[in-house]
Amino acid sequence: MANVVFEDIQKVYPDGTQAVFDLNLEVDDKEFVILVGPSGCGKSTALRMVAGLEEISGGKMYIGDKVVNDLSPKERDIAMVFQSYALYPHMSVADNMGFALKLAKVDKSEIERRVNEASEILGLNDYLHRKPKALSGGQRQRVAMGRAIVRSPQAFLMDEPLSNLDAKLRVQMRAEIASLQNRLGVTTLYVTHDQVEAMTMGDRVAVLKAGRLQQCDSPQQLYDRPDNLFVAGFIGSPSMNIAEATVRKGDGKVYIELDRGETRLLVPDSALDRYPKAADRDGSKLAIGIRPEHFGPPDSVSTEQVWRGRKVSVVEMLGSEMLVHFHTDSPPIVSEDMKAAIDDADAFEDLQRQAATGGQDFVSKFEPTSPPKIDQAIDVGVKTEHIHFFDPENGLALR
Amino acid sequence: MGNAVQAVVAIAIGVGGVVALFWVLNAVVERLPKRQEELLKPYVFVGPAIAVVGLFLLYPAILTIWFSFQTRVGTPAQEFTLDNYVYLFTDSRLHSALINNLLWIIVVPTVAVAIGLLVAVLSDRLKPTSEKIAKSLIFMPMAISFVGASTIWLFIYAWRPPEVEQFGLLAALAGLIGDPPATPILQMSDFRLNSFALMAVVIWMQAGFAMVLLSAAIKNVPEDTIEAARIDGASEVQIFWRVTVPQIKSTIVVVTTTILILVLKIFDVPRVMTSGDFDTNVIANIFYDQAFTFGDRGRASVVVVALIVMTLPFMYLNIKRFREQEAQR
Repeated sequence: MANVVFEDIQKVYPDGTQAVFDLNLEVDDKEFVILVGPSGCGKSTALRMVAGLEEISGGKMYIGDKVVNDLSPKERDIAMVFQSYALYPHMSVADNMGFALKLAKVDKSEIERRVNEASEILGLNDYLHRKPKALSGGQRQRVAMGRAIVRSPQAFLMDEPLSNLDAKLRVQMRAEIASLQNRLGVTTLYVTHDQVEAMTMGDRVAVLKAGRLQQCDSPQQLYDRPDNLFVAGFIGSPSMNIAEATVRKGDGKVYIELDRGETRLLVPDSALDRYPKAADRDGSKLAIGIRPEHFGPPDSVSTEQVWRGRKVSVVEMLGSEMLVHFHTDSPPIVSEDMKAAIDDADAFEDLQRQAATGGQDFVSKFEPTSPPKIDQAIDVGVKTEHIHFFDPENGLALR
Repeated sequence: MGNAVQAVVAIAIGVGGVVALFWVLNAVVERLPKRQEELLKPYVFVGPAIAVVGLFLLYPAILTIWFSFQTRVGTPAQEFTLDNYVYLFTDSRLHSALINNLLWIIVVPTVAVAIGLLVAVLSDRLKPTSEKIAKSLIFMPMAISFVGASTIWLFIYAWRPPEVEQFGLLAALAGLIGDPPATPILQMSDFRLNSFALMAVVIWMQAGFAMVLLSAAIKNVPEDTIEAARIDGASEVQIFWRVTVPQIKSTIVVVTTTILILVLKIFDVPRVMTSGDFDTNVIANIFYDQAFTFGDRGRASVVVVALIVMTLPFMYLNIKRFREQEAQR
């Protein structure tokens, strides 16, 4: 086992486009780190540079304190799980798993022992003689994992290994891979575009955008203390509500003005302690963020934290919770950050359209009580102690 | 002009006749009671095709086998005989040709596929434009007829006495390096070298065919499996033999057997280049000589029967392979 270190890693393609900029990241021994980001953010490129499948244009890559920039994949002693599983179609499951050992001229009996051991762990015992074609998607995924396990490599590299599975199986394999990694204690670098996968599986999550590392933290830290607007918008589902608002000081208290000054909500000191710079911006426009679960019934907060007369546009009943979309006149932040965080051209266009009309919909999460009617005006309690503040220009958190 | 009109009329009658035939048969069957209609309909549509195959393929084949048991045409009494088979098993010219045919079917498919594979693999690493140019050049001989290709290669092999200036490419090249060959190139006497010189023509033509199909197959091999092998620690050579080749195995088999069957009935090249002399004779050429030069129908037929029997195992293999592939779908 070994640690993996990215030191000022760059990737420039021959046509001049740069995919990765100054990437610095340290994956400790036995740690499970997730690289997450919208499509085209350079996360797969970064992983392939660790594997040796992609040339490193600049910086140094270390695996176990050894610079591996110029080493072939073979010499790096890493195992990789591909999105398509990349099983050898002409080999049986056992041969697929033992191929690397066979190439390394490991003893036949030793290969068999290790393949059996891995298939035991993965529950593949009954399929060892089958060809990949005769396996289900989940079984193929397991074989791909098995191929990595039998080698006991320095590190596991996984490139969206679950994205070809159906939703139910994905949830199951998510837990299996996480517990397997934990049990084997192998340094693992895992790439995904799915922020739920990122949140549930990793010890730490590295969020990338357009080839640049945005933040690398534990999942909870990312969720509670996003460093910038992009991370705030990208992590969490449903995503954080982000809008333009003005900070106002009065009577020794701090307020935010929403709906273009129509609404004024009290911001408790605890929120300002987390974002000390926000209070200095008296009278200027900021980007504020509120997570859906930080809304509640009006009686759950003080009267100065109730947002009154919100028109309901959509209600989603999810059984365990109820999502209420309500309208606000607070304009959204339309920036590159938000575009990348949304990672969906249609949804971003929708946001732009809403911005043009001067307002947007907020999503709030409630206990599943009797749902409000569409177009009904409701009062919403806002737990402003959990509010986030960002600079609307550069997107940085106002800490 | 008159020919063109005739051709158009012939096509119209041919196609129209087939359409009319099916239409009439279909109309007739549809008038029958429902049960009989369903019973007969498949035969109505498949029947004509079977009849045509039977008339133009099966009947002549049976006739050929029948002729192979008959005495020579023109002899006083035509009757049943095994003489032709005695000829088949004893004639030394025929045996020499059989050995040549065996060499042809071993050497030509193997070398053509090997060259095709090599070019396919190497051109896969070129830039797209260079790849297209390289592949087009290799493929071009495919567009030439066997007779045309033989004529071209006759120029390559052309030979003149040493004191005269050589105009054949090979002899001239040999002259540049050392002495031009003392004997004509296609009249060498060592270990059937002449036959190998003829095989080169067909290899030159068929390598392009092999290359095109194999190149398509190689491009279908998922890049992921190559990368996975690279990470598993395989060298480029190991990747080729253990990952790429197994995945294009079925294409290799199809290409090999296709060229093999083509070579089995090879005729044009030896006919044009040597007329079967200098140890280069092949069965198809013997058949031609027997049938059209010597007019011996029995001997010609027995040669064809031998050829059919030789083709059978490869046909069987191909059909088996085809069935397996169909079953996998």
